[in-house]
Amino acid sequence: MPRPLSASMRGRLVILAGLLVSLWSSGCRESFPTGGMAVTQVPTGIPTAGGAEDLLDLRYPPGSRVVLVQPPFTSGSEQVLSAGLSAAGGPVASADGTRILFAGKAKAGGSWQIYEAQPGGKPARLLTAVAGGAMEPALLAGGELVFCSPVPNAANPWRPEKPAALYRQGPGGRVERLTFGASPAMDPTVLRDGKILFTSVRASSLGEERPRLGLFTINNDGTEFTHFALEDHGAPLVRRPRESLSGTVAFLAAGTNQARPKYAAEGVRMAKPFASRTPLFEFLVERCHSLEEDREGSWLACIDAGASGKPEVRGSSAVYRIPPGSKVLGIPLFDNPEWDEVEAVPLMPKAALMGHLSTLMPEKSTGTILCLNAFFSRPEAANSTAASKIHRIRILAQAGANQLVALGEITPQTDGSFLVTVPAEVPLGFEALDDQDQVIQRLPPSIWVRRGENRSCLGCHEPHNRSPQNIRPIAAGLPPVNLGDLKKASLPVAPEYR
Amino acid sequence: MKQSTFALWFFGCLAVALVAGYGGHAWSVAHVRRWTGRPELGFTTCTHCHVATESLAWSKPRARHPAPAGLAVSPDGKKAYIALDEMNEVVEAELGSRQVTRRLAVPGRPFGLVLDQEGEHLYITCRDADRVVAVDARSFKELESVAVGSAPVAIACAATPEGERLVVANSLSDNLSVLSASPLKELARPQSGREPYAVAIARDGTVAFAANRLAVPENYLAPANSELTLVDPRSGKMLIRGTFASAHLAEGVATVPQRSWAITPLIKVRNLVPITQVANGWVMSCGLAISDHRGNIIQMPLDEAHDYFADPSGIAVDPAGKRAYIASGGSDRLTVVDLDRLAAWLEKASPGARREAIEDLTLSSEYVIARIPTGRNPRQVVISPDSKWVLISERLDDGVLIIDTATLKPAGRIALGDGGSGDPIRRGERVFTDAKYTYQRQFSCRSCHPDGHVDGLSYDFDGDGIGDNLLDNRSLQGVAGTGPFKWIGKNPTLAIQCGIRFARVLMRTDPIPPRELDDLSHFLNSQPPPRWERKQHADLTPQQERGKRIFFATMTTTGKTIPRERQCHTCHRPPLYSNRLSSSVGTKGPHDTTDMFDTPHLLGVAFTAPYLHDGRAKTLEELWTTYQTNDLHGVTSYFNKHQLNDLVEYLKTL
Repeated sequence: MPRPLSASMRGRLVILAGLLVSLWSSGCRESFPTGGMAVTQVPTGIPTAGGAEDLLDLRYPPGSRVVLVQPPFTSGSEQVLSAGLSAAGGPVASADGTRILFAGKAKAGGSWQIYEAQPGGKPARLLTAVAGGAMEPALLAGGELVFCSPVPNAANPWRPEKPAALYRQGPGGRVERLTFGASPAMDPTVLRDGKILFTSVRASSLGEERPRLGLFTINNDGTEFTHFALEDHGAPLVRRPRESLSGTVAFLAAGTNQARPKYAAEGVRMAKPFASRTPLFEFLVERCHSLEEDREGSWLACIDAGASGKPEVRGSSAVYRIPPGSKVLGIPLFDNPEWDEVEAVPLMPKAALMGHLSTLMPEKSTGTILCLNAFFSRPEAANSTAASKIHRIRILAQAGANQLVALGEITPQTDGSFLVTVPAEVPLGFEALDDQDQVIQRLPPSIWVRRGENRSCLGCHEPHNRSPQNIRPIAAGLPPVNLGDLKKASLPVAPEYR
Repeated sequence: MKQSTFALWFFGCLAVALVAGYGGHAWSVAHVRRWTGRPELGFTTCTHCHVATESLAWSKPRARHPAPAGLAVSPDGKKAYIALDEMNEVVEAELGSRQVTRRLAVPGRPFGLVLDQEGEHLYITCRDADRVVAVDARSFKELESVAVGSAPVAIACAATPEGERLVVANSLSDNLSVLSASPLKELARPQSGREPYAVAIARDGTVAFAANRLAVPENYLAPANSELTLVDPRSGKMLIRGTFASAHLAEGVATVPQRSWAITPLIKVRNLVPITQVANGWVMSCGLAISDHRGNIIQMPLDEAHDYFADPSGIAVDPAGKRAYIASGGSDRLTVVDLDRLAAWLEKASPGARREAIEDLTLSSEYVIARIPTGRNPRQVVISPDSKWVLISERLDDGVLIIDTATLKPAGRIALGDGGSGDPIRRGERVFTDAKYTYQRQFSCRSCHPDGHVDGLSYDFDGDGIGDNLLDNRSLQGVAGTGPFKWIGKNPTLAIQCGIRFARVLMRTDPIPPRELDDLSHFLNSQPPPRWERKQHADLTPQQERGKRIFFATMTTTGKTIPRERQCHTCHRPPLYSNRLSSSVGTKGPHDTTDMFDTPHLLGVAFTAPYLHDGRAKTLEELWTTYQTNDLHGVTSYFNKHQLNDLVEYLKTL
């Protein structure tokens, strides 16, 4: 008769089993083979805008699916990753190319949520359960999920009642809001330096009927909200920014605000993002649906080459690989005539992403803003010559959907610097006033600080990509002016400024 | 044993242990209080005061690596000469075969190299021996040597109407040595800025440029300027002291034929701006200083809006004056600058645009034409006389990379060693010099601690609020055994000091991974105080002896007893000259949150200006003149000026 195991031996076996399980779960589990691509397929022959309630219904009508396609990319070889879902789309891959995330809808009438595709034909795993739905996933350096929520209305996604914001979902499913602007934040992607790049409304365009979009960045904790590219010129609509190894950020840009705009592929160089906007390809692309960096500097694009001749009907978009320096579009890399391929993401290891250790202090309800020189303005900014006449700075906050309040006014130091404590996580704006209380310059509520964040700026309408001069600001030696209590904000704001 | 006997034995032992433990604790506390004169202190470990330097990592033998320092190429472009300072060797290599062909033992840490115009003589600076050695390039044998200033690191050679001249940068004595080549003789030793580190002579031999690495301390709340020293290489006469405004760490300089320029890669610092972010070069960025022969200097950016090229070091300009090649030691890149494009931009730019150019991070794309990847920590650059090849020392990979200037691609590599990956100190040095741990690769540990030393600046970290606790940068040379770290003595180990905290307040990325942090600690602990070996064997002068007596004095010259806690050697206790405890010495500033500051060690204190936790004291003298409060920082009110000078002179020997 075998001897029963001693307690210590049993303990050891438990530890060994635990180690084996952890080894399996960490490294030995199945993953997607690199070399393939994740593709969004939309059924052909259906109207492009009929009956869509929200933005994703418009992009991915019922029956849309996410599939895995592997070389040699033959039509009909797709492996469905979103099996069992009513509709799916918007796949993204992790930096190591082994994870695929996408937005999906379990049933018609349900909400869009983020799913993770499972290898081996298993059903996709639900990652989010967010009221209002979630879309446009991205992955941070540590594997944490970033997404956009709520899913905006299809009619006018950039002027909704409740603007879409970016969220981060950490371990244990804890969801943290990252953006706090007055206008929506969408299309997040994570840059190699760890920042989250996304689209939002340019400050100069806030309040316009048809807002113009720009590219912005935040740290992975929502701090350091910064305008990244696209300012006063070019197409108003921007989608799907993506960084390439060659130092370009590519994106889709369209000139109209219609239901199905014609998106062209454009790019800016990281080295000078505000002054390098150019078409990405040497040939004309009118209807580009997605753009991702592929191997050896080429691009993977889903383009509607106009074969159907009926842009109002889906059915002619396919996946193209476009090598650098191509003069013509070439033939599709993958095209299933029964489907419209609208998004394609290559599965391949990419450069590792940097992380960022948060400096937030959740126990605080305020942040601090240090302006180095309020008299400093970029020459091309409106009223820049009047910047030297600035007498006081009024700080505004968007306390509610239509509630604009003035937190107070402060007088800059003689060197133009000021240091002020402001409420955290509300849209903040600034008005520069002259000695007659006339507004010289204005930034409508569009920026924010997070709890405990120390934020700096060079000046009012500061030049982009500019380093500060090495001067000790007078305000840094003084206690901050406290305007951090939103409840004490009582100064009225004239209706014309709302 | 009966149970009752056992219990008796057990409790007896316990009682003895308790009594002994309590007694030992009480004795040790009394001992500490007695010898520090501070009744508020509790238990502290013995090693706060009782340390043997022999036990410290920096005093132990360490592995030496064939890390390339200075480079030179023969006039026919066939041979390269490479100084291996750690190995006390200079080697000759064939560029064609990429093989080392001859080796020459050169004691005293050979560092800088230059060939004369005919390629017959090789001149070598010996950094630890304070000498310049002349070597016959044909026989590869030493001919003669001459004494120069302290720690010579760089040397340049040029023909002048008065004969061939050599100019040497003496990094620790803050001066230059001007030598005649034949006979090898020092003609003059003009003063330079702080830490001259690179020299170049204009082709016509009328002016030599010396780039100085550190700023001379001034008001700690004003921008720190370093110096470009212009001297006449014929006579050694000082011509002009140019200013690198708010910039420093110049480790290379090259003159440009066809244009009256000298170009110096440097770091533009922004230490006066609170570090609320590092994006947009908020803490520092890299640039080129372009000086004419009258010392007028324009600074141009080398970085890009979202990518940085940290720790620019060596520079070479081709003989036609068309291109400059700059090594970025922190980002492992060689940057190629088109000088015609640069000149064109300068020509059309307004004076205001030129003045502000260094702040515009989008500008470098106007004239940078390539960024070429290199091995680890490229530092020195030299170009062959026929302009075909650029050689770059890959210091922490023990190799020299050869770039084809026609294709701007690597053409080969001279392997000098295996890279030393098995040595934790070498691995730690790689961590120390690599900018990949900071946001957008903006800077490395070395950017603030060149050679593990200081940059002489104070910084405002925002972790404790904007404007509070301005912190002077402390040297890492001799840091082993001096914990805790940070000016308020908060961090018990280097790993804690350099780990999560730095990632959060400075690097703005994920922390350095634990294994690499461990390597980094190995490297930091291996850094000896400057000139330690030499100081151990040096006799004190009479003035220094008098200073020593003051340092260890227990009574004033008038016979009054100095309280124990205010005797210099109580807090600055040998051999590290620190008891590693925090003290209040009356230096709390208006924005400090405490008046208790960590007692810094004094090894190499002569080279670590400025002083005090916020760097407010420019010199050692100022500690007891401008910033002494009620004799709290040692009893010095009885000093006359001679006694103060004696004390300072003694401190400089530590």
